[in-house]
Amino acid sequence: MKRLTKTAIIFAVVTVLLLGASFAAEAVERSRFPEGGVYFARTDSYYSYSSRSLNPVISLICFDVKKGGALSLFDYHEIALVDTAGVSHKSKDVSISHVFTDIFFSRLVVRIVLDRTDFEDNTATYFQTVRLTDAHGKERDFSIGRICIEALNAEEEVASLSFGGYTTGANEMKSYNLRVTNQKEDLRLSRISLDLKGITYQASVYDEEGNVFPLDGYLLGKGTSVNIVLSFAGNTEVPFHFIKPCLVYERGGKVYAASVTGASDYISLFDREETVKYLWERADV
Amino acid sequence: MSSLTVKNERQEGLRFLFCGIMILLAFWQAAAKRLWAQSGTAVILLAVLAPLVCLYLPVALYPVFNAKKQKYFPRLAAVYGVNKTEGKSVLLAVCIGVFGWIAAVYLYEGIICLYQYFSNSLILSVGATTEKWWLTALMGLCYGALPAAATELFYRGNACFKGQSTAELLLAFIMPITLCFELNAIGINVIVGVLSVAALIKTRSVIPSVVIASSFRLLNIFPGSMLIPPFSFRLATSIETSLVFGLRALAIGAAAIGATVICFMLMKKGEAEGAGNKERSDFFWHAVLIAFYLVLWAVLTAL
Repeated sequence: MKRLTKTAIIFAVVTVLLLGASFAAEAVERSRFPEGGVYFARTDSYYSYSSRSLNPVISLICFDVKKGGALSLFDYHEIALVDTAGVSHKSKDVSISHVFTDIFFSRLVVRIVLDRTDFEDNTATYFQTVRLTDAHGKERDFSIGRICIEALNAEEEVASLSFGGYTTGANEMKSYNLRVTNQKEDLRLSRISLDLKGITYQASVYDEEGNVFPLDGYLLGKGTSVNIVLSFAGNTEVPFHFIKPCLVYERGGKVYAASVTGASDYISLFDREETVKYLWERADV
Repeated sequence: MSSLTVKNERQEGLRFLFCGIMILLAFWQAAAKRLWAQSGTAVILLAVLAPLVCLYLPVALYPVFNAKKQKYFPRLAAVYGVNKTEGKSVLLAVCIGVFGWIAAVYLYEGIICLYQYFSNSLILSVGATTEKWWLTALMGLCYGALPAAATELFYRGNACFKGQSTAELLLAFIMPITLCFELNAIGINVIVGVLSVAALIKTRSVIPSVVIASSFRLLNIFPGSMLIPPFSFRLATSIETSLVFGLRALAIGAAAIGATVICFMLMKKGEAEGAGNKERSDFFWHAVLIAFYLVLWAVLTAL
């Protein structure tokens, strides 16, 4: 019986030691992260909407650092985007998905649906702030970099162009490919509308034979398809970009615009070490 | 108490027992399904603690409510078809089975989580258990053989089990359920359960049941089998968390082994001691056992 008592005591001690070690390991890892709470990644993004029937859907990358009982994203009740004029655009709908989660932090993608009728035709609205409201009605603003939403009116040109495929995402923001087919009469391509702060681009057209032409002034015949390639340059080091460009063209002396149907994401920050470093940079702001 | 009363109480008790088992089965199944979908701590607590509460508390509280024992314990003993002393032994054996199961599962989880940490690879995050035969074999050993061996030890070591069909059924039910817990298919649970019970009744030994249940577990070696990564793996979504949850899983395992040892001590004392200060001594060790139980609860909550 004494041997059994000793055994029980040994296992009790082992339990306490292992628990202590686990909590110590947790504390060490937690100390690598900055102050707990919500961190929104800074983006340089552009969304165009040529149709009035589609509401803008904006993607934000959010990090939830679980430390010190800080409020997580899910503790907030409302989310809104604030434009540079100070107008708050409340979300019509929000969806949140986990990209990664453990006991130390979560990486989330927040998709905010805005109201298309809040945006005047042929104007660009810029957002630099997202506003969260907690259960007590207290508001807190977070910097999100720069997001441009451009509303375009293309009611007169329905289903003139069809987009056969486009770059949906990449790690590095080097290029963007778009396949376009003209469904109606001949048109002349004019430019790609893409308003990014630190990024410049050069647009080229590749015809079916692989010949390369400048985009501006390219004549796209009825029923023909081309590939448009954008080559990016400039500050491509920002790790988060979402783009939904718009193709501007002329037909019969009138200018029209057609937005690509979906947004593309250029996300280069994946590694845990890079994420911790990025969070510290964001915390220092 | 007349034989008719005892018989009625036994029938009533058996109904109560099987209702309880069905509830526990439901808990387990719900927990398994929720865990599959990344559930929270509450479900884990329900899955692990509900059976412990149902099975252990009657024994643990028995000496505490000593004054009422004459009223309640005969009924409890009748449920298991044994007398007072034997009834305690049966319940302690069941506790040993449950604690043994917890110890084996969490030791296995702890080892694998720490393996993940030190090898710097999330080997279990992509269902790699089905591709690594040694992992599955280790799981089969920990989930199948170790708890069953603990049960077998007490089955053979206690005379009270001999010829007690209700106790056999109880053991036979507990063990296959625990062995097959991670197989997220009630059909397989039922098949293995029925086969195990049949083997147990026929041979009056737990060993054939162990072979049957462990064989099903080892079937997971083959790709595409229905293996559900257990608790800690679901939580250890990064290398860093593998270390934390590995150590906690080992802590749970160590606490469960301690609880098993205390159960063993209680059983030995029950057999060896007569009157005198037995109940005071029992109370002390039951208190220690409850302390272990609380440690388990605390760790599971922390998870």
